[in-house]
Amino acid sequence: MAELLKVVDITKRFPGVLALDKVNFSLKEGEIHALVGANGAGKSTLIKTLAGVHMPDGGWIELGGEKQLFRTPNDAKEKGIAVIYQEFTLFSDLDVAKNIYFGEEPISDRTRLIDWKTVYKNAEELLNKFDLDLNVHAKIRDLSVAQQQMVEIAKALSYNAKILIMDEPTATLTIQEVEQLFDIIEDLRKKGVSIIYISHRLDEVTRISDRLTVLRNGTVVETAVTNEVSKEEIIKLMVGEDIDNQIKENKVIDSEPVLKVENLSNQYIHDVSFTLKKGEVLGIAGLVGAGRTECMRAIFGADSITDGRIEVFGEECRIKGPKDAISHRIGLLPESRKEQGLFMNLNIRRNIAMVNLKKFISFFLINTKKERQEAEKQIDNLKIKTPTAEFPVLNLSGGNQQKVVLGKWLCANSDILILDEPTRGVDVGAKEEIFQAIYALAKQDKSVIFISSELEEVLRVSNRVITMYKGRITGEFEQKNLTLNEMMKYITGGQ
Amino acid sequence: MKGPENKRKIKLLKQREFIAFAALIIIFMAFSLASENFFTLFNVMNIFRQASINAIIAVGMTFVIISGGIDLSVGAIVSLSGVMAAMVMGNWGMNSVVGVLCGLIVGIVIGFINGFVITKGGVPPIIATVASMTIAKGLALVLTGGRSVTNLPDSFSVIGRGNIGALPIPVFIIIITYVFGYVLLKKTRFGATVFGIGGNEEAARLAGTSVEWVKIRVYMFCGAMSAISGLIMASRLNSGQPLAGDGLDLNAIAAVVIGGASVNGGVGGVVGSLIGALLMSVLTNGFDLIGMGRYYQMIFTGIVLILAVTLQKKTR
Repeated sequence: MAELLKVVDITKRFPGVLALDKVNFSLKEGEIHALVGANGAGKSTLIKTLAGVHMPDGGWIELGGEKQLFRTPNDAKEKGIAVIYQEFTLFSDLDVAKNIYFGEEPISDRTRLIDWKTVYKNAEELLNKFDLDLNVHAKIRDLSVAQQQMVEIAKALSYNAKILIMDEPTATLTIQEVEQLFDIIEDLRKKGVSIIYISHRLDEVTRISDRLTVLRNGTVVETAVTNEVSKEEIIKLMVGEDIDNQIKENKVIDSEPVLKVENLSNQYIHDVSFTLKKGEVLGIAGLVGAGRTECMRAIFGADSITDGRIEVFGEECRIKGPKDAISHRIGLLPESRKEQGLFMNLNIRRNIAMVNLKKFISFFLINTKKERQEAEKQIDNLKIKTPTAEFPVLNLSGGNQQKVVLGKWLCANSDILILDEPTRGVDVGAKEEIFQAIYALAKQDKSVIFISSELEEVLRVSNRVITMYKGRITGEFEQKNLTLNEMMKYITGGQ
Repeated sequence: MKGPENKRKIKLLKQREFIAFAALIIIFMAFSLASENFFTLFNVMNIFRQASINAIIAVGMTFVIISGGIDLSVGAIVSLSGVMAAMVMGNWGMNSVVGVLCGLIVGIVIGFINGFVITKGGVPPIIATVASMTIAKGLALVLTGGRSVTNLPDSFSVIGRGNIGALPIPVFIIIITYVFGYVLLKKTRFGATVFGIGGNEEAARLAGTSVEWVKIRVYMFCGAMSAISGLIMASRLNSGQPLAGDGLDLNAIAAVVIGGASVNGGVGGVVGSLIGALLMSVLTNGFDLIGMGRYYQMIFTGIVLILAVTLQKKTR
């Protein structure tokens, strides 16, 4: 097979990070090439470079032996490279055909208007050619996730994409849908489309790909024929050897349980049971879509549960909404601080006080002085870097914003703190400060549930770790007995 | 400790309110130069009196807009509450206290319905309040048969035309409603929650606040303020007129926005809204005094609105 695409010594720098360091990669005609690596390994940056979203700082891309320079996504598109991102880019109120040809609608020569007849005819032909079972008149919002993905694929094929890049295409699919998708991918390959397949799920990768490339910290560690490597070897390559030795052992906490979850189930999670002990940091590891966030939202009452029970401080309780959870001294630092955690229009003082305003009320009025004192206490306690408590949170750094959210729950006297991806989108220094804050909280006998996509972080801060895969708990470990290798195995569906 | 104290004083007129305040002063001075009748005690009181109806609605509208909503029914509430009070007094011979109470209840009930439809029914505020505006307007016309309701007791006319010392009663009511509104917005849990909801509704929900109930109360408060304006209006006209409040909705929204509130919610304040309402009133009054026709005035008021909001965006 001839080499279709070649990436030579691609380097990409972001402020403070070397995201890609002289990456070499090739794709043969009709090949399915998997790209694997832990979070932050550089997979996304690499595909964004291929798609013309990022301009590389060094190196080049060759297509069929010709050097290419992609300045915009359109350049890549014209050369036949299509990317299907995890977040679809469809218009939910338009139908399938209109989505496929959006912005590329054929214009009738006679009337200079859109020739809708041709749009639907072409869409029909395209779908038939690639055996995609879709109704061209169906509205996107009425389709399942898998069907929407087919529309994305059809859209890519509509401009004759030769290379299809799929980013975690199975993350939100059911098992049957995954099978369907694999059939489609096989079929595409037979019809001459080459595919770069990015996934965390090693069982899928080993099943479908011809070759695979492992990225770690922005460099290629290995490119191999899939059949010739074992899953264990892949995991080893993804994780690296050295990190485990750098991580200190955390002590085993043996105190009374403060939170006991039994057989919790809803549409996203199945039969989740675990306990959290006083003064403990419990890490939850899992891929995006493994049900970590959903599990925590269920405990916090933000999503409803269909089955299971929750015990807080030895007492069974029914949590029907965030209000109940808060009164049971549970606090949630949500996944996206800007969308769910903070009031960007308000200052630090009010953000910290918001959950527990009644603490500062005398005669129906808020005692601003008491409120400010409390805020200042939390600013000291959590080492929030700000000139005053009156400073708008909008102007704080990501790490300090997260600390404000933490402060909010401490002000509300929460003893159980659920931290959902607290380190996402904050820089290295701020991460360290968040870790220190978590350690300090545990010392003050608060119990912390720590969720992160970065396995290394989970292993560093936790006393105990739970792994999740597709909405279920797949393992529970004392931190000192756990290695990154093992953790990677359990969150990618191994047993 | 001197720093924070000073800062707090400056904060009284925050940047976003400052533009409106500066505009108010400049326009005020311009009219003072243009007409010798402008800057007199009598005329200044007159400006306040004219501003009262819009200003008092604007207090309520401030809450609605900060919470991320909009209320287009306030004009219809002004009409219906005025008509209701007038009928209770003029047609059924009840005294002014009963009349005033009935007017207020009308406003609060329509506000409740607005809030209920918006939160429980999931109807966008603009649609819900356009609907209730139409209904209230229709009701006012049906009840009166399209005619004004007269024969009001003398004690009622005090509201719109009486004085306490040198202070016209409507101006007195402005002061009361604004002090009340200021404290409610800045110093109570309710007010804090209104800012929270407007800034980030999901975060407010996850903070355990009852978002829906707070919103309902916001619209009830706005309805009550509109009803107060309706009573002042009816008192000044000495009659209940079914179309008295037409167009007041957009004036109130304009006042609040000129005062620095964001229609996206989460930002705003009653002090700014008062400045906005005064600014609009100064324009009308000043243009009248220099003899500019009402039709031209509308054009200029529109231009001022655009300028004020553009300037705020630029300086933010």
